Amino acid sequence: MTELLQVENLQAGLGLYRILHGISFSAREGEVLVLIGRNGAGKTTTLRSIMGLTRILGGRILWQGRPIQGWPPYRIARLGIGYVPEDRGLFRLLTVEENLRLGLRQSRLWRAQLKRVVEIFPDLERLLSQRAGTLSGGQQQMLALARALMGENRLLLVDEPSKGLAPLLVERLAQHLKAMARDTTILLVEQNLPLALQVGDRFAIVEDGRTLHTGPMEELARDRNLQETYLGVKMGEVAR
Amino acid sequence: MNFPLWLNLTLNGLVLGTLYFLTAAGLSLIFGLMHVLNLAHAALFTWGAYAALWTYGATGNFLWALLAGFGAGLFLGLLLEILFIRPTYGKGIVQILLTLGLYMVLVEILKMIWGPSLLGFPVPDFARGTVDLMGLPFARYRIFLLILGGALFLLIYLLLTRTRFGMTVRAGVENPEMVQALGADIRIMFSATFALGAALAAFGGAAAGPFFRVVWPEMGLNMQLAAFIVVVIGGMGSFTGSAVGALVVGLSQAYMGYFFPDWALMANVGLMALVLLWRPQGLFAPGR
Repeated sequence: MTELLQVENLQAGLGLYRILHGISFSAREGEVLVLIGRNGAGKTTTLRSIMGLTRILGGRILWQGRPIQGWPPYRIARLGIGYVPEDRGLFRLLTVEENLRLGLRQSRLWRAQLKRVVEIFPDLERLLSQRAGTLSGGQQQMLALARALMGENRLLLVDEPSKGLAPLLVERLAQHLKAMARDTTILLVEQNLPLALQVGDRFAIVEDGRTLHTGPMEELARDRNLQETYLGVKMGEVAR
Repeated sequence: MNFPLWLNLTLNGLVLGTLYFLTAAGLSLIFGLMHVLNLAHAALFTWGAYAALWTYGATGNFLWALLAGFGAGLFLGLLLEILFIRPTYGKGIVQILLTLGLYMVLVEILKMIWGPSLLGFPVPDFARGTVDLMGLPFARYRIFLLILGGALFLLIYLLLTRTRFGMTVRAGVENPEMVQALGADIRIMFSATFALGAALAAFGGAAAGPFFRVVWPEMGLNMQLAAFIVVVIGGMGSFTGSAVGALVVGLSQAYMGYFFPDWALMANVGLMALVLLWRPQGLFAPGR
């Protein structure tokens, strides 16, 4: 597998406040890489930095070997990188259709892309004329993911998609993410261990703005110590 | 109050509302999207009026005059955004002082070219005279303004709701960061929105020339004051809010101006205060 995105010793922050002190990992074409770590460890800032939404203070971000750190967000997005923020980033006053259209790179692909997205999220088809702000939490999450898919992105940065969703919906979300991962690389920030284990291929642990360890998902599934330390799973809890 | 008088006052209120709407729509969009409180907006209104007067004098064609007003606003808006507003994004107080200074400079330039006095702006031939509205005369030009205002409202409404540019602007008012993350170049969007807002104000100035029958360098100030009231009532960033707010302020101005002329401005300020107490974000404010 070729490396689509490489992050090397990334440092970033807000103003003078440094949040990331040295993040390094690479995402390979076709895989789902899960960033795990405690709250405030720097996972969200890592995604925002890749997307150009946070000031980079050092290190490099390479897209297919080409440095892109310091680029404005719109140029990064046009490379084929989609972003689904933790708050979903929906335009609440716009309709579902308008939200989806804004995800498109080329307007003429609307029908083809909608068909593709509706195959994964069939519920959205009947909601097209509804305002995004009136959707339920689960529907909003579907829309946020669907919008990122509309742009034919090669890499999706998805931040805590399970946050605020009922367990039944998390199960559906896992199915959606797996379907999306068939033809898109995903960099996923996720604290929900069962979901991470179900969809992830590899994981990277982020702690105090640094990456401590990366490995295959099987390792995380086996290692109760890792689960307890970085995901807050207590001994004796069933991971799957 | 008899019906013909009521009708006359209402139509006059709607005409005033049309002029307020043209000034307020741009102000509201610019603030909603870019968080820029543009105090130079009044000068753009006035520049539109002078550009239209000059073109009308040179060509004798009022359509060209209106287009010249629009064009002057578009050009000046683009120039101001690129040279002065762009380097100061995120610096609210600097922008307020800067746009206030720009207002003064733009008005002084007008005075240098055309002088400080009132200049007559003749009503175009096709809209001269009055029509009889149930026994009361009503200026033809005001009917033309109503039609023009309605057509322009529809045009901008379609631009904002049916085009990708409009969709992106509405999305940007809600969440500019996400719009960028979806691949839209926010700088181009800001420039285009600022220029469009400036062009609308200048078009309003051009259309207001024959309404007032004169132009003068400070003519935009009263419009700007009314436009601020409109924007507060309608909600910053809401196009529909600007339209509804403008009609409310225009109608209130017309009724109060007739029955209690000394209280006309007070009524609008009072209306604004009521809205601020009841719904500080304005009647149609987009959520963030």
